[in-house]
Amino acid sequence: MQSNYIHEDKTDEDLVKLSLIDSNNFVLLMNRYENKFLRYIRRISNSNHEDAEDILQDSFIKMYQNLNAFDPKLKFSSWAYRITHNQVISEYRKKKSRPLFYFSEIVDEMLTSLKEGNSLEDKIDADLQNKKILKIINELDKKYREVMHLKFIENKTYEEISDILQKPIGTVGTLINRAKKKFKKEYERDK
Amino acid sequence: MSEISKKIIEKIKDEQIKPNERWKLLMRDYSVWALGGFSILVGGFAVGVSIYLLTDHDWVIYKATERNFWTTALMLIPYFWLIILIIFGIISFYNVRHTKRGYKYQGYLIIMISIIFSLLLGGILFATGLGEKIDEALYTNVKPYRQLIKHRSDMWQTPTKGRIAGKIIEIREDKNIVIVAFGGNEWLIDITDAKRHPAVRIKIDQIIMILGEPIQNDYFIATEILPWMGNNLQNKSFLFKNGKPPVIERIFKQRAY
Repeated sequence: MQSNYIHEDKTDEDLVKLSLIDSNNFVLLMNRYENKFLRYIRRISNSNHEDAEDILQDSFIKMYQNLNAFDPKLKFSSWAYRITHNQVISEYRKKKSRPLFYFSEIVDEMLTSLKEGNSLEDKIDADLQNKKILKIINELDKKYREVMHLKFIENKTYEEISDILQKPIGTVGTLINRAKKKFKKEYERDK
Repeated sequence: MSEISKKIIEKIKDEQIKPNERWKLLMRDYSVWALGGFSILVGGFAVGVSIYLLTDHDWVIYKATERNFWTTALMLIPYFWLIILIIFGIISFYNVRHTKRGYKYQGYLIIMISIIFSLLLGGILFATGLGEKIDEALYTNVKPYRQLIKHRSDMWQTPTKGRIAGKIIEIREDKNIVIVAFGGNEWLIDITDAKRHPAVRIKIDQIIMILGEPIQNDYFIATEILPWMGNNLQNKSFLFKNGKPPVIERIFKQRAY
């Protein structure tokens, strides 16, 4: 891939155009998002690593097939998240399994942070707290779970969430507010 | 290149996967817009014809019945067009929502804009007389439509309910007249004590509406006589060519009275 180096400074939108000319350029887009989307898929689905990879592969293929439908007025990442999100939902419908937040990822992160040498007790407390937070989020209705996840775990803006979930910004705001209230209520109850 | 990227690129090449062609995607987008626009257009037709039907009805008929105004209003609502409006309203909502940026707009906003467009279009269709033309074309050519829509003339073919209308064919000393009703029957009408609307002219070939009471199968005592243009259309004669409602003229011609 001699072009990798040349195209490193290109924007996602430029890479979309280049991918339409030569499919090899699509690798550059995949490289940028592969790990992020794999994490996202594992977080919102109950798939194991292999299944998550399959979903990711199908998502990237769909993105490639629909490159001409990409609207440059949107952020590529929002568009790509939307396709990935829809692919997870589609897999969930196929398998009739409920998307869940996947905890092994969190356990992995917990182990990594333990190795980093901060106060062990603080780390354990913080991670237990994280686990509890995720458990509560996981138990929320799907519509609240989705927005909470995108807002607080993926750190997306309201506009990006609106583009990913294809809902009006106002609705996203309302959902986040309601989700926060429900979350707070459950969190207080679990204390 | 990561393993997964490699696998995907290989799959793309092996299976000769290509990006969907731009024109196909554009066609899909345009079809969504076209269907949305078409639905708004049909909604406009529904509004235009409904306004025509509602304004063409004679709202005084509730006087001749035991019903109150609101019961009469419920009876006169063009339900067929209302259902068409709702169905196509839903289709236009669905289509606008499925355009590229449709999701960005709140549902109520799309519904409101769609209603405003339909009302505007319907108002224009009504004002230009197209609402009436659409109704007339359907009434003349589509049999089920005749059964679904209560036309103004249908409301005046109910002598047992105290309503009758028709064309004057004979005048007998200003006390009795003979009319040929829309159904084709001739009726002798006693107009001695009937209250006459100022616009009523008792003349041969005049079309009038009569409120009153049937005495026999062909004899009717009038309590009130109204001109065919109706009380609610008295001031809207500009809508009719030559000051006469064309539909009724054609009904008479068709039935060769």
